[in-house]
Amino acid sequence: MSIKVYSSIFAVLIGSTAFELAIIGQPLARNVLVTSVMGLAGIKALLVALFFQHLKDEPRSVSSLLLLGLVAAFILLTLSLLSIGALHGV
Amino acid sequence: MVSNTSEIFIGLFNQFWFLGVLVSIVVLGLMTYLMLRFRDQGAKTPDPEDAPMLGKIPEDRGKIKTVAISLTLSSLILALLLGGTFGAIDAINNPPQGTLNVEVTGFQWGWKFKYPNNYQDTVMTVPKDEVVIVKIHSDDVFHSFGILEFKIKKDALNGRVNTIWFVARDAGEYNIVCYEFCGLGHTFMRTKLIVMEPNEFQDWYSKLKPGEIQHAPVQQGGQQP
Amino acid sequence: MSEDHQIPPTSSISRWLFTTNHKDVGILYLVTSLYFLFLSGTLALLLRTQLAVPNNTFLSSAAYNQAFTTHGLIMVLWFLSPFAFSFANYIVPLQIGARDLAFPRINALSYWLYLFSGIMLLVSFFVGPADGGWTVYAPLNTARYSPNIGLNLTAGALVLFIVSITISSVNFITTILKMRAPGMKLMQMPMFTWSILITVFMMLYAFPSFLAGVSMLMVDRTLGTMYFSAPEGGSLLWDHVFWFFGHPEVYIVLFPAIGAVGDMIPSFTRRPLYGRKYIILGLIIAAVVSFMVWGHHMFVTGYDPLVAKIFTLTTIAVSLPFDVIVVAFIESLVRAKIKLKTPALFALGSIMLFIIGGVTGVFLGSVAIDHHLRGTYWVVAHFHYVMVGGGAVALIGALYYWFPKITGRMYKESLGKLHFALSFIGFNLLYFPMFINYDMPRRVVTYAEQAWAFNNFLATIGAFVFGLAQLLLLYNLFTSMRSGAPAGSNPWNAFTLEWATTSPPPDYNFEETPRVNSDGTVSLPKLTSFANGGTPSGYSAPHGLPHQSHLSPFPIILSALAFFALFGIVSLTFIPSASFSAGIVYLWIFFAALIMGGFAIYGFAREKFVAPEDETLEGWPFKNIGRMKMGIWTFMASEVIFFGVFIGAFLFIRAGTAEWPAIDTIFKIQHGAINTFILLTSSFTAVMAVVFSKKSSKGGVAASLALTLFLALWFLYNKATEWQELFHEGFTLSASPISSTYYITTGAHGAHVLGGIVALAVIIGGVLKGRYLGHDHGTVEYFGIYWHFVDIVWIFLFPLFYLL
Ligand code: HEM
Ligand SMILES: [Cu+2]
Ligand SMILES: [Cu+2]
Repeated sequence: MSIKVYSSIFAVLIGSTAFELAIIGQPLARNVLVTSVMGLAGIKALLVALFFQHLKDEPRSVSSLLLLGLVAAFILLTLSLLSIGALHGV
Repeated sequence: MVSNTSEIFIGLFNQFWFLGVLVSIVVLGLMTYLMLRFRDQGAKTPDPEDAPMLGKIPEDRGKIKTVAISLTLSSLILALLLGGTFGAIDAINNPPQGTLNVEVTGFQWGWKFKYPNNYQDTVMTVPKDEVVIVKIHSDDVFHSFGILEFKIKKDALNGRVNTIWFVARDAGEYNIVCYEFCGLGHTFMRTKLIVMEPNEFQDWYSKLKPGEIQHAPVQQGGQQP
Repeated sequence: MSEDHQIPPTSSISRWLFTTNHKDVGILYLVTSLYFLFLSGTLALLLRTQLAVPNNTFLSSAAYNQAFTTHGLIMVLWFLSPFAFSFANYIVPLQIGARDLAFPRINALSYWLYLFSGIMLLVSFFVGPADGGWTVYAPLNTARYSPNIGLNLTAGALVLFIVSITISSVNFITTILKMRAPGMKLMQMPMFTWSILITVFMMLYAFPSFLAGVSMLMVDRTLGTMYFSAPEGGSLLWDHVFWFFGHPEVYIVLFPAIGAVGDMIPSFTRRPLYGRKYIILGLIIAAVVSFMVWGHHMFVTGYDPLVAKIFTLTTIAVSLPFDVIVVAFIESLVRAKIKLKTPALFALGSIMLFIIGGVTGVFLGSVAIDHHLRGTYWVVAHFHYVMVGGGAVALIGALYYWFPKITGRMYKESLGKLHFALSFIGFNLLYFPMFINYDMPRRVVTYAEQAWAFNNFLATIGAFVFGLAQLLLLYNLFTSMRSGAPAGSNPWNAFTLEWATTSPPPDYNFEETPRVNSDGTVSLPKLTSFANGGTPSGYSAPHGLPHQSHLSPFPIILSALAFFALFGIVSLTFIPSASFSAGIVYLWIFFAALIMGGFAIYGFAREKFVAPEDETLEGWPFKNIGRMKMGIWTFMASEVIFFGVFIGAFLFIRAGTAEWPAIDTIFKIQHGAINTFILLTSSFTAVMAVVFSKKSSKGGVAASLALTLFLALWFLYNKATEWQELFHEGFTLSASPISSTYYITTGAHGAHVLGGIVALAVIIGGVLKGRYLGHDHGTVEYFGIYWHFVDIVWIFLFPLFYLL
């Protein structure tokens, strides 16, 4: 992959971080805020993984390994939070 | 039956037990039969044609039909049990209007009971035939409040209040047991549940002085057997 | 030493200390795990003696509690899995036609870490044993309620053990998925290999949760954080984190046994396994669902009723795949020619016991029934039927089955049958009465109820029958090892590849690599007459690849140092402040081990150890990725869970905290933002280093890595100043659950940054000497994978702590 690609990814990462910081000051509803900030974080993470870690070019089986881990962690998170009633009304 | 909860438990348990024993006997019996029927009796038993041998990975065998049949059968059985379970758990979880609320606190190692009039005791006393609601809580570590004969329990946690309810059917003495390991005195973290006739209970309850503590305070280490 | 492909003879001590050969490591695992079996079995007999009659006073409460805790920990962790993995080590490479595991030194490292973790557990047993049961529930496990050094050491032992398991699972995943005999499709792998593959996947995803939990416990106990002592997290947090690991763990100990049974059945029924495909599918489904059922251990914690129903549903559902597996095993017997040899008896007996265990598990899976059965002897009976009956009994069968392969000699059949009969009778006498005692609470030192006396007495008799019967096993194996009849290469007339070589196999396993043809026939290598220990002069490695190395001193050295480093740190924080001199000693032990460990890692990295990568091997679905890179990615998957659990714990505690500080009050956005920009930039420089490395631009690589190093140091410096400020404001580790989660989560991340810094320093040193350039760019790339992961974790931590 070319230096140009890396540089533009880097620029996007910096830009979206700045954007995160900008959103925080806005008078937004809590859930809008949470969704957009965490969504941005997710996008940044995805960009780093796909381009910097070159997951894009690895066999799909490699990303599946990681995806499985994410799913497992997500299941733990959701069910444990549900169990103490923390997700009610979300 | 000594309480509505033991009724619920035993009813459901018997369903499980009946089906479980049935399935086990059928399956284990079948397996034993097959082991004897097809055991190697030398020349009397022909060599299977598809006998595995080194140098060849055997062809897969097995019909999806067998799998499907056994899956359907067990799904039916499990669905039956699931239905019973969901009915029972709704009953366990949803107390009707209670007539008596008792707060119980587990601690290392014993139980404290507090009544609506602030009376405290180390033995639990309730009337028979009335809905008793128990609010369970722990002062320190993880305990589990269980009434042995009533076949009901719920964990006692610090920072959380859990609820069980029951209706006792027979007057008498029952055992309250801690069912979660909680340290050195766990074994002896036991006390009694006394079920009285309603009028007897009224009598007892009305004579209590609020804030009073009856019975000996529980000692550290609980009562030894 | 390592350049020599000649292994010292089996009589030589140095062989057993330095070997990396998978078969030797397998034997080491076997001996060690059997030692733990007998040790823990002795504890069990003490427990049963105490319970034989009511109101017994043979053991004190304290002794009883320590005994059942150590018994459970050893049996579940230090016996069952390692026992299974002795076969995994010895047999799996043979079954797939490989010469060794993918990372032989890592394999030896796994063993030695396992041994040293066991030693630490034993040390704890003698200086003040843990006594909270193998489930070590919170908050009983915190320093306040269990102020003994034993639990610190147990936590240390668990950390070593989990590290061992994790690297071992990476190793097996890479080996099985990338190093199969040419032509061997996944579906053509033997059942045992399949079961190990599924097991190591469960290990990979389950153990990091335990590691995170034990790490939290350790910092709670040593640094005074509040994960498990505050009501906001406390009991329920431990429950979730422990059982999320704990339920897959019980399958982890079971699955290898199912796989071994799946290999034994065709050998002794003389027919191919019935419904093999469905068994494999069943195992995979059960493994996946096993991550969604943990809540059935928490049915009476009073959590959300809807969640309880979900867990009831998943639990009942997970019994369906087992139903398929058992039915297929039974169907395999139809129209077969069953040879009831000892291994067959154990295998079939184990299925029977497993059926009873499974059926009684369904009772427990019902949330309503569990409202009485939780915490009683019904549970004890259930899990012994599945783990001992379904697991250990089958693995003992496997020991008989593979004993001829490992030693080249047959065991004594009649003695084996007697052993089976006594074990089977003893087992049922021991555990069946516990079902009938389903009112009796577990983990009690004694009872007064006469109604429970008879069944307890029966169980104790059964325990002694079962326990003493195992001596027959030892006797049989010890005598047969020397004087048994020669077994030949394939005594059972089996078809799997471990039987296609001599017994015991030569160091390099096969004269030529076996090959699976498209019609399912296998081109077998010719048998050499050389037994284990020699390299025949005519032997050449495949396709002129270099000879595989089999010796390295670093695994044992590294494990010993890890032992001392952990020992120092967990002991240090325990000693009373009065004994200052003792503290200095422990501190020295810690630092000395750490520094020597640094050198040892460097030596490990620079050691000339040959593990040739054969391109002709079957590697679907990882054909196009190198062994090393795949290993690293696999390891990263476990890191995802590790941090996932830390973040999960943070959110769990946050959800339980009424008042969370407003943003920019405690955690200043400015600190987090600056560090975010720093780490993002360092990721960019790290990826540039790869570009330069591929272009063989030494200066470019050195400069970008140096920049990365500088940014990493800057990140840590910022972190340190921030922490210092917070500390001054009284926001200490033990101030609140908020501070605890903050320091430990970002601290775990910071430790990863520190690890990256050490790696960077070593790599930059190498680059300056002209290494890691051009074709050799792998190292820079692997570092990048790790570093970007650290960056990604921060990308999430930043908003979670600073912005929301
Ligand atoms: C047929 C499928 C199974 C079902 C439905 C099932 C269900 C359960 C349930 C609900 C519990 C919690 C009981 C309680 O503490 O109240 C439990 C405990 C346990 N099960 Fe199973 N189980 C099954 C199979 C297995 C297998 C295959 C193993 C291991 C090989 C296993 C090992 C255990 C262990 C070790 C415990 C107790 C953990 C402890 O509290 O110390 N189970 N089982
Ligand atoms: Cu207790
Ligand atoms: Cu479970």
